[in-house]
Amino acid sequence: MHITIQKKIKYIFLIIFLFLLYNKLYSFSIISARGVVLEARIIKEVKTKQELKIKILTTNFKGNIITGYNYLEGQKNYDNYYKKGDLILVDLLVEKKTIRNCRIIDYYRFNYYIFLFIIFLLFVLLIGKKQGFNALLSIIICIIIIFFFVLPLFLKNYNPVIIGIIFSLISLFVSFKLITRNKKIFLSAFFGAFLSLFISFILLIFIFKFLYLDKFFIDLYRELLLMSRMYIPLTIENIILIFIFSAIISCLGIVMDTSITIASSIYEIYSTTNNIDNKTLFESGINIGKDIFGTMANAYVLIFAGQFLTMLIFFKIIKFPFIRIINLQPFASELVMIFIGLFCMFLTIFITSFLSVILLKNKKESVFSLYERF
Amino acid sequence: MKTIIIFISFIIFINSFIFSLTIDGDIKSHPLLFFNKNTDFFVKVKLLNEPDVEEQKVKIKILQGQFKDNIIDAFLVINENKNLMLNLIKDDLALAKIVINEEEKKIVEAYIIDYYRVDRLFLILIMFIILLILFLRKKVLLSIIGIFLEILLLFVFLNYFIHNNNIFKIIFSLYLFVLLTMIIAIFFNTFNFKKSILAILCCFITLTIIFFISYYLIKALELKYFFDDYIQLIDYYSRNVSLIQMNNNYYLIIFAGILLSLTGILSDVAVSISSSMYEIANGKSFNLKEILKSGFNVGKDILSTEINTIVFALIGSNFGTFILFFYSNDTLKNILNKEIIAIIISEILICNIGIILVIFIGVLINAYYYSKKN
Repeated sequence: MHITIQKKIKYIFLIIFLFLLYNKLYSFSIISARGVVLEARIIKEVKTKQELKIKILTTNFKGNIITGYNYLEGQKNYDNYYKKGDLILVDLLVEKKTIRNCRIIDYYRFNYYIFLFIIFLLFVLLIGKKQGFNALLSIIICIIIIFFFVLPLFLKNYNPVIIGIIFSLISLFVSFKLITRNKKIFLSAFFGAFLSLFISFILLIFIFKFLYLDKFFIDLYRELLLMSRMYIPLTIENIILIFIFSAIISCLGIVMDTSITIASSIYEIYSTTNNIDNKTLFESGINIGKDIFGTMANAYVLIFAGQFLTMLIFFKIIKFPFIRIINLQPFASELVMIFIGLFCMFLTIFITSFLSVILLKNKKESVFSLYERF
Repeated sequence: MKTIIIFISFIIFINSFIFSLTIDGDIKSHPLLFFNKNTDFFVKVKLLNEPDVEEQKVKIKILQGQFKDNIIDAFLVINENKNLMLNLIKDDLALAKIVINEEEKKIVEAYIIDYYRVDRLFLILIMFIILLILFLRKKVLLSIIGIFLEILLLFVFLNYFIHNNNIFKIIFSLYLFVLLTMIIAIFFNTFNFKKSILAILCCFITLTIIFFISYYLIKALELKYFFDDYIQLIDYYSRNVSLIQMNNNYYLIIFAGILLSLTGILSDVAVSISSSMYEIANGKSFNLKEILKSGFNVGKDILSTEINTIVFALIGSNFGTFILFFYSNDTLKNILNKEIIAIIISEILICNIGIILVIFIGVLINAYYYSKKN
């Protein structure tokens, strides 16, 4: 492996540093703790409350037993009825190192995540070994960048286009650096992915105007727009650009996948075959692209179908006709999101195989002479 | 070609089987529903003059349906905020709701409710499909047909899913549907019968394992109904419909969505595993150990590129939710404990565990098959 242990340690330290920085910036005086319900009863005089005796299991107040109230709405769908032995999440209001008050938030779901994540990690290490671990590390770094740097900067009303470009450059650099083992593969995959993302970003801005998707929101983005007047200092143009940026994030994974596959297989073909000319090399790249395009497109469409299943069920229940469903802003934007992902993959196939051919051949042949040959 | 014909007849057979399962009851919609199927129609209209701001009215010409070429006055809500309300001028196309009197067959009133997006959406879609077929040729055409078949199947399934009251029937139909989608996805993207049968076999085993595990895990999340906008709407607009909301069984919708997302990815990985194993081992004499070793090497490569697809797709499509949560003054722990975030995290982890399982099972099955054969 070309990535030394020192580099890996550097990356891990970077993650820890980012976490510490985040905690410094956003610290709260309220402490979240895990608790277990020791006793649960509904108070008979007031039926809108449930009195709980809670033993706290984490933080400095471990072992304390407190009583808290779970307020009930009176509807079975809204209310959480806690039983004895349930793990719950509690907010403790702390003043001068004593618990003043507590608020019962919800069921405690972290055990579930940790259980799934440990299974996932074990499987990755078992089958993927070092390579799988590196891929996982790159994903975690990208997620940290999205949530702790990109989102807060968006909320401070910086220009989403510039942030988006910087973000995609950094995330592509980190993940390709961790996955690939060759400089030429890295360069062609990196620029192929970045250029196709950039082109589809610009195309999306025009498509949004063309389809009137930047007006008349009826979805979550309408909520955001309404909130923007009161709390979030976001301008309308920036909200639309953030929406476009989210479409780009969702095709980031698929583009990385395609570009790395094509670049590395063109490299394999080049290194195993002697005296292969540019045209056949390019065509073999396109052929590999054809092979992976079908299944990847299928996977992408089905991921989005699964995501928007609740929306489809809602339209099915209120019996809207087909023309009305297609015409709705959230549905149309979903279709555009799927479309742009596939288009981005299509572009990546061409750009990456073109760039790989240029980079693999010797330096004397310029871009223009290559262009004439095609 | 022969296999495809056999396969299509197989699909029709299974579809008729799904249809033959009895549907328990029709949906009784909420009495206050704003849309009546008998009297309300949605049509494409053209604005003939500038909207009147004082009377909030405009003259329109109907371009579709049984009232084609009628010229009438329509209501158009005009507001100062151009981004939340419609912003139309003379000669624009729009979508209007016309209300008719059932006995006299006359138009009573008309409202302009949205921009008209359908034509432009289809224009973009057709242009994109032509572009794909021009550059990537025959293979892509087949996979596009496969995607359309899957969407058709999804609508057939949804009809059954919504109308049923029996939880066992719902889960069984979901299982059948997911399996069928997987079979379509594999058959329309591989052109070798042996490869596709092997891929389907390993998909089937993985799906069965993941199906039962994830059902119990999602039930354990204790999901309540207010976690999603559309689930709230479903609850409001359809009272006493089916088991889905009567017994607080919204988790079934989420479960179906997660499985649908899983399907595409599983079939993608299974196809690439079985085709690369075919390239490695077909017609050559290896023993089981050698095939397993090279199979797991290929699996490592596939794993490291594939696990980021679903992560980025889900983060991108839920970006608005993340912004809203991140702006609220809640602690990070409480945000991560929320239902909607819990669903996203569990979906990512379940799908990625599915990918690793399918690689493991696929390599084992293929290696066993080729070692026996040689």
